[in-house]
Amino acid sequence: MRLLNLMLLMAVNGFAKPINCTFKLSLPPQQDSFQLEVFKCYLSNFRFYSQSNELIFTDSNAFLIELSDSVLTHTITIDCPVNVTPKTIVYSIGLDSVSNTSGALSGALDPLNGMFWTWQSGYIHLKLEGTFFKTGRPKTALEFHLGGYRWPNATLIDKQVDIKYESIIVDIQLSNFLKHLNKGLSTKIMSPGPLAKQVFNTISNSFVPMQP
Amino acid sequence: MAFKGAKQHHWPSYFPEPVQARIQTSYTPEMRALGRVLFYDPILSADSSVSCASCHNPYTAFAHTDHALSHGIGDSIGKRNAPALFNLAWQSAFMLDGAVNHIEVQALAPLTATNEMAETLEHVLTKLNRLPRYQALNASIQQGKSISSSLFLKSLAAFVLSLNSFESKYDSVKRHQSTFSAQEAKGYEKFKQYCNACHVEPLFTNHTYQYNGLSFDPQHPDLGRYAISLKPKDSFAFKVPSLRNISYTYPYMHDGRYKTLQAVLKHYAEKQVSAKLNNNVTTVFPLSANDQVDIIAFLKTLNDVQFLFNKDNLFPNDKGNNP
Repeated sequence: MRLLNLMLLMAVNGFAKPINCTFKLSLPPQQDSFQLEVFKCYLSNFRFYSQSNELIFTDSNAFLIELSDSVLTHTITIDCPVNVTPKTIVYSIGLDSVSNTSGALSGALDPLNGMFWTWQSGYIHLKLEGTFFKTGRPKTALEFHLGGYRWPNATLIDKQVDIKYESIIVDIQLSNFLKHLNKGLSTKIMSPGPLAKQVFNTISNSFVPMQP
Repeated sequence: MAFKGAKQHHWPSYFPEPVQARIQTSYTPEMRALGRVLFYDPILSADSSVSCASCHNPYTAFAHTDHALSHGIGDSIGKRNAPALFNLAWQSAFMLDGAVNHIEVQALAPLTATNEMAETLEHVLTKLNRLPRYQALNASIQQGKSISSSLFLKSLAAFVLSLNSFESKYDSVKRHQSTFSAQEAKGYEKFKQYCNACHVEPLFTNHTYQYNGLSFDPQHPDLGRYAISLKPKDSFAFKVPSLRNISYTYPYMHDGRYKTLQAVLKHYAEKQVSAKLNNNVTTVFPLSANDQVDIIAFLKTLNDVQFLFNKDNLFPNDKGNNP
């Protein structure tokens, strides 16, 4: 085996350092906007495919990705068989039920990372926090702590991305999520359920693979 | 006879195998010792005023006797009646609504609740790792590492999973070492007729969540299991508690509304209540006053005084041993 250090660049609406960036929600003269302050998510269950779409190997570890206003890339270190060059990765946004029900874990799954609910067991699979500015209204704090592992409200979505130069690039295009805000829908979701799943899916479906 | 399992984690032959047996065997005596010190140490709370034992007193089967709702720092009042802690190795979910899915993460709930210990995991670990007594306990487990969140949580789990209660009169009868009195025997028959659909022997719970006909209290709105499962059938349902050590764990119900066993039996004997009970119970409980007294006599045979005064479970010295 060898260590494969995958470089992950995760942008939001094209901003590679998206934290504290402001995203416009409406056209002038309206000034509605959204400032992203926290974006953390778990990526897990990496499956690596060859040029001919054969599954070469898998990695069951979970990785916690936290976007920032200063760090451009994240390193995902994977145990990879030697003499193998994967072309495509299928990974999950979120965690499986086993990770959510296995007690006190460490590393990316350490409760110290602030991604474990305490009043009920389970991980926040995707945390998005920020401030919503709507013309003529007080600013609103946004807190989306999205998770859940129980059927039918499990938050887990598979995504696919190509690897080039041992790097992967994903742009999270939040337009649909921003529409959710503009419709005046919930600004706080703190527990699993149908609404959490709906918003999680909206954000996760915004993960768009980009070419290096 | 009479017992199954390794010496360290044995259980009576008439008990099922603990669902936590595999986890239990992964813990060492040193981890239990650390967990025992932690359990009794108020340093786990933000102002060092409240320990786990504050609401889980060993002399009352680790319940919060005489308090309807749990207490936290600064005289804050919790949401529910603190449950007794014993025979947890036979449980797969914890808290009265089953919100906690693993014993190792249970402590996070009271630790961080603002109306209980109001602490953070990070700060607790900082406090522990700078104290010589915890450095010594940690050194008995591992070298070159500080107490991690994982060790902290697993050690607490090791202690509470070791709190086993099966030395009541009922148990001695099961082992043919004793016999029920005439009244206890009558009560046992009534119990088997009306109560053991949910309070299944020998653990005296079936570990399900049931609505037991309690009226809604607008002062303490609590949806129970529904808040976790989001299933309408779980509205106002709470975990069926074990009836072992029942004399010591008053008051009763999730909100501690009944102070006596007599009040509990009266609740179940009321027709309008028993008609509301779901799933397992389809008939009213025609319990006469005498029946109720007899059932209470039987329930008292589930008290385990040995468990209450088991020195290995009481307040330890700094090394986690008996003082």
